[in-house]
Amino acid sequence: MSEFAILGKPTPRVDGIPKVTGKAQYAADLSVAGMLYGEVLRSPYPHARILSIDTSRAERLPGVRGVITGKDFNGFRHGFMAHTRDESPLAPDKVRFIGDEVAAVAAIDPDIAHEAVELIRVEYEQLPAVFDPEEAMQEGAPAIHDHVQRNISAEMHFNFGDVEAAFARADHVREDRFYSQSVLHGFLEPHACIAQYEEPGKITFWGSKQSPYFPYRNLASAFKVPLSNVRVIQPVVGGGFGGKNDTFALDYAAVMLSKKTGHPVKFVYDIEDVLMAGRRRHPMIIYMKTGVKKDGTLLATECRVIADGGAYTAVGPMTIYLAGAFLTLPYKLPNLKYDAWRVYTNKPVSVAQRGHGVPQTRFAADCQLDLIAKDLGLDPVEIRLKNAIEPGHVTVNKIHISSCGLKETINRSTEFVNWKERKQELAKEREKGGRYLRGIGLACNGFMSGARLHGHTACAVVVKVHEDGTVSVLPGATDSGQGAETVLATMAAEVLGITLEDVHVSRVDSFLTPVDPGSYGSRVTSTAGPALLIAVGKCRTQLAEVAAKLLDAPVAEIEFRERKAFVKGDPTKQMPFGKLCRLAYQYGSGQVIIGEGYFGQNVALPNWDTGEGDVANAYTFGTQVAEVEVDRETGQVKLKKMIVAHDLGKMFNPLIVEGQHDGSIYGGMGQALYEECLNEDGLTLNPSILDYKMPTALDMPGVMESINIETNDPLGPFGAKESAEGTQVSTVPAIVNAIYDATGIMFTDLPITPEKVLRALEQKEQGGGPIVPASI
Amino acid sequence: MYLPQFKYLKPGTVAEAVAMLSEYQGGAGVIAGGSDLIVKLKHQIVNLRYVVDLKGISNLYGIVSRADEMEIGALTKLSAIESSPEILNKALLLAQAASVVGGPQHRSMGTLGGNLCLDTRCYYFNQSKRWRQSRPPCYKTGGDRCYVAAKSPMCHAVYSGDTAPALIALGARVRIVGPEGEREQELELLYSGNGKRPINLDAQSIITSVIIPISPPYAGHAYEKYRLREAVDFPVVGAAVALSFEQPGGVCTRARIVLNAVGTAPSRVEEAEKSLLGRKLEEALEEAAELAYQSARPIHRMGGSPYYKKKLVKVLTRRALEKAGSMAIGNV
Repeated sequence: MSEFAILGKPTPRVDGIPKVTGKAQYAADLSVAGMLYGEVLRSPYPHARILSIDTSRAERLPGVRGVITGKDFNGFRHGFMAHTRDESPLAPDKVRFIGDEVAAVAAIDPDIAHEAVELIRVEYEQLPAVFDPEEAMQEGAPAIHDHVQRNISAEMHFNFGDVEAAFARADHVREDRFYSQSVLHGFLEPHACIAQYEEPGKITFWGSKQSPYFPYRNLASAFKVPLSNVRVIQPVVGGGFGGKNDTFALDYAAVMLSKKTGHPVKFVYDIEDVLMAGRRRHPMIIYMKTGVKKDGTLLATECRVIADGGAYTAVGPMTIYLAGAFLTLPYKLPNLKYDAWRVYTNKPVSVAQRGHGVPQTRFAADCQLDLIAKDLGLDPVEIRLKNAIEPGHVTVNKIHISSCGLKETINRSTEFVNWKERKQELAKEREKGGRYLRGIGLACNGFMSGARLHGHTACAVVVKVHEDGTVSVLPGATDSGQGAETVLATMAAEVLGITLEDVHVSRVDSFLTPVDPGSYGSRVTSTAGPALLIAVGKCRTQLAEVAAKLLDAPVAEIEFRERKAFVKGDPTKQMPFGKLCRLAYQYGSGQVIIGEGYFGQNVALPNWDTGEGDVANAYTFGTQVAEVEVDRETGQVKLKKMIVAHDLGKMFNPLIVEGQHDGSIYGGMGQALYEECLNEDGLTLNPSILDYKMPTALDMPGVMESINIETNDPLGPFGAKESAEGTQVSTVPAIVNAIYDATGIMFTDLPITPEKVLRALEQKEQGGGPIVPASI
Repeated sequence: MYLPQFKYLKPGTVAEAVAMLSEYQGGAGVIAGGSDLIVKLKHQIVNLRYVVDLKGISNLYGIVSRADEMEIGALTKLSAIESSPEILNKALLLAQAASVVGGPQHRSMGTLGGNLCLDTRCYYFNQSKRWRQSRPPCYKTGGDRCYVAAKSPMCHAVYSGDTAPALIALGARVRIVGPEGEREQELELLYSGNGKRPINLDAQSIITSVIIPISPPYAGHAYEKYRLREAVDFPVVGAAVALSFEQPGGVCTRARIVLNAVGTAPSRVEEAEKSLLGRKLEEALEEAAELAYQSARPIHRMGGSPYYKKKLVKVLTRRALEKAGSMAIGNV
C-alpha cells in the first residue's frame, strides 16, 4: 500500500467539473458595472513610418468614449531586460509587422468600437521590409529598429572545451542543416482583459495571463504607480504554453482608456488576432556539425542558429540561450561551440513556447544522431544508451545533474514496443510493398524543472486553515490549465491528512496572494511546491502542538490522516481534524492557523555571456518512441503510436501527467506534421483554425502510453520534477526519426507535409539522396 | 469578429421567400444552416441588408422516394443525410460525401442546398476585411488582380463542396424556384466555372430540392476525399465516381468521374469516363486514372502545389474506381 492517501492516485482535477460544464469564468466571461468595450487598430503594412494619425472622426462617433494612440504612453517601452526594451504598448512612430497595434478605442458597445477603429485615419510612409532572417542579417538590409546593426536583436556565443581538436580526432564528422518552422501556441482562449483605473493611481486588472505578475510589474512601470496599487486578478485561464506571459497592447490600452474615460474597459481579442498578429515559436535555421568516435561516442558539436525573432525582442535572448545551453543534455557532450543570432524581421514576434527554444535544437541534434547511427551502422537505441547522461553528471557548460532516469526511460519505452523485433518486422513489411510504409523512431530529452534564469524567481505560498478544518491555499503561482491547482491542493491535503474537497486553491490576486515570477519554465510543482510544503508545514506544526496538548502526547507522535489527528501507535487517542481546528482557534488565548513559505532556488544565475551554469534546481529526462505510417501514394504521414517515458521524480497524479503527455504528443505532432504559420510578404495567409492546421482529436495516435520513472529528486517536493514542457522536447525528432526509418529519408525541414514526403519518395526512386535538404 | 447589422426576414413559404428576394434585390441573401454565410458576413466578403432565413419553410425538408428517383429537400441537414436509411440504401454515395463534410457541428447545422451553393474558397478571399486591407483587392473581392496566378485574367478560387461531385456523379438534378416559377436542371449546370461567381443562380431564386435517379443494378460508386486532418478540412482534392456494369464483372455501361477542389467548379473528366465504357474495369482503370491526371489543371496552392494536386487526382481517381468496382460486384 502506498504511504500516501492522495499523492500518486488518479484523482480527477479540482477544476475539471466547472470547466466541462461551462461554469468556469474566463476573462471574456467577466463584466464590471459601467464597462466600456475596446478595440485596437492594427497596421496593415509590414514596415512603415507613421506620419500622422487622425482620430477626430472616431472621437465624434456617438458612443465612443475614448481614443488613444502610441503617444499617450509618453515613450514607455517594455521588454525583459533593460537593454531589450524595444516594444511600445501602441506603436508611436513606426509599425514593424502586419498587425502591430497603432491605436485603440473604447465605446459603449463592441459594434461602435469596431466602427470607430475603422474611422481612424493613419497616414503611413511604407518602408522596405524584410522577412527572411538570413537576408535581414546582411549589410544594407532594411533597418527594423533604427539603432540596431544588421537587425541583430540578440546573440549568444558559447565555447566549451575545444571543438576543433575534437573534430580532428573524431572518426566521423557530419554537418547538416535543419529548419524548424513558425508555429502557434495553440491555446483556444484568445487574450482578453478588463481594466479599471481609479484616481489616484489605482489599477485593477483582470486578464488571461499565465504569469499575472508580469502585468503587475509592467502596468506599475507604464503608469508610474506603486506596485501596491496594482491589483491583478486572474480569471480561469484557457491555456498559455508561453504565449500568455507578456503584457500586450490590449492590456496597456485597457488601463489607459480606463484612465482617460473613468470607466472600466474590456478587450477581447479573437482567434484571428492571435493567429495573424500574436506571438509564436521561434523559427530556427540550425547548422549542426557533430563529431563522434567509431563506437558512437559523442565528441563535439558545433551549432549555429539563426532565429527568426519577428519585430521585437520580448523574451528572445532567453530562447536562444536555452536552445544552446541544452545541447549538452541529455547526452554527454564534452565539447560544444554555439553561436546564435536572433534576428528581427517584419513579422509577428517570436517568444517562448512549451520547451522554450530547446525543441528546435533537440530536433536537429536527435535527428542528426540517427543519421550518425546509420553512418556508423549502430542502432538508434544503442547510440543513445552509449551517450546517455547519468546521475551526478556535470555538463561541460556546468549544468549539475542530480537525479536522472534517462537510461531507464530509454529501456522502458523501447521494451514497451519490443524495439528490435518491431523494427525488423516493419522492415520486412516494407519490403513486401503495399500502400503504407511503417517505421519506428525514438528521441530523448533533457529539460529544466523550475527555470532559474533571470531576476526574481522565488515562489511563495500562504496557507490558511479555517476553524472547520477546511483550508485555503493562496499561491503566487498560476494554473494556466496544466493542473497546478490540483497539484497544490494534493500536496496540502496530503500533509494535513485531509481530502481534496477540503482544500481550496485561490487564483492569483496580487492584492492578496504573494508575488511570483510566473508559470513558465515548468516552475509550479517544482518551485511553488516546496514553498507550499513550508507553508502548510507551519500550519501542521501549530495544529500538532495543540493536538499534543489535547491528546496528551508528545508533538512528534501526532499524525494526520483520514481527516483526523492521531497519536502514533495508540488508536484510542484521536480527534477529528475539524474539531482540532475549532479547538485550536479557541485554545489558550486563541490561535489563527496560518502558514507562509517561500522557496528561492539554491542555484546561482547562469552566466549570460559564456553560457555557463545551472538554469534550474533539477533536470528531467525522457524518451519518446513513435511509430508512423506513410502513404506511399499521397505522402501523408499518420502518427500511429507514441510512447512517452519520463523521469518526473515522483508521480503526483497519473491522470494529470497523462494529460500533459498527450498534450506534448499533440503539440509535437502538430509541429512535425501539420502546423505552420504561412507568411507571404509579412501577411499570415492562414489566420483561422480552418486553415491553420492544428490537428483534431481524430488525428491523435490510437496508442499513447505514459511510462513514468520515479527518481525522487533530492530538491523536489516529495521528490517531484516537471512532467510537462520537457516531454514536448523530443516529440518532433521521435516522429521525424520514425519517418526516416519508414522511408529512408531524413526530413530536415518542418513541417513534413504530404507533398514534401511524396516528392522525396519520388526523388529517392530516381536515385536522389537520403536527406531532404532544408529549404524555407 | 462581430456580425454587421442586417434585417432578418423569415418567410413561411417558398413564394414568400422569392418575393422577398425580388423586393430587396441586390441587398438580400438567403440563409439555411449558415455555416458558410455567417463567416462570410463576419469577414464582410458579402454585405447584406436583408438575410432571408429559409428554415421556416416546412416543405424544404425531407426525403421522398419514388420508383425511379428520390427527392431530397434542400434544407435537409447533412447530418440527417449521412444517417438516413433511405439514402444509405438508395444513394450511398451522397451519404458518404455528406459524412465527410467539415466536422459534426458543421453537418448538424449545414444543409444539402447550402452545401451545393458553397462559394469558392481562396486564401486571399476568405479573410476578414481587416486582413484584406493590407493589399489591393483581388477579382473576387471587387479588384483587378489574382494573387494566386499573377498574370491571370480571372479568379481561381476553388470549389470544394463535397456533396456536389457525388451528386453530379449520380446524375442528380436540382429544382429551382424563382420569380418565373419552377424549373428543373442538371446539377452540373449550377456551376459556372467562374471563380468569382461560381454558382449559376440568380439572386431571386432558391434551390428547393435535389432529385437523384436511382442507380441501375450492378452499379457502384465512391467518393475519395483527401485532406490533411480527419475532420473539419475541405478537400485538398476529391474524386467522386459512379459506375454501372452490364453484369457483375462485366463491361462498364455508364461511368461518371467528377473531380473536386482542382478548379473553380466540380468537373467531370469525360475522356476518362469514355475510356471505361464497354471495357472491364480492371483493364481500363489505370488508363482512366491517367486521363484524369492529364486533364486536371489545378492552379491554386491551397493544400499543396498544382504538381502535387495532379498526383492526388490520379491516386484518388484510381482508389475511387477500385472501390466503386468492388461495390458493384458486392451489389449482385
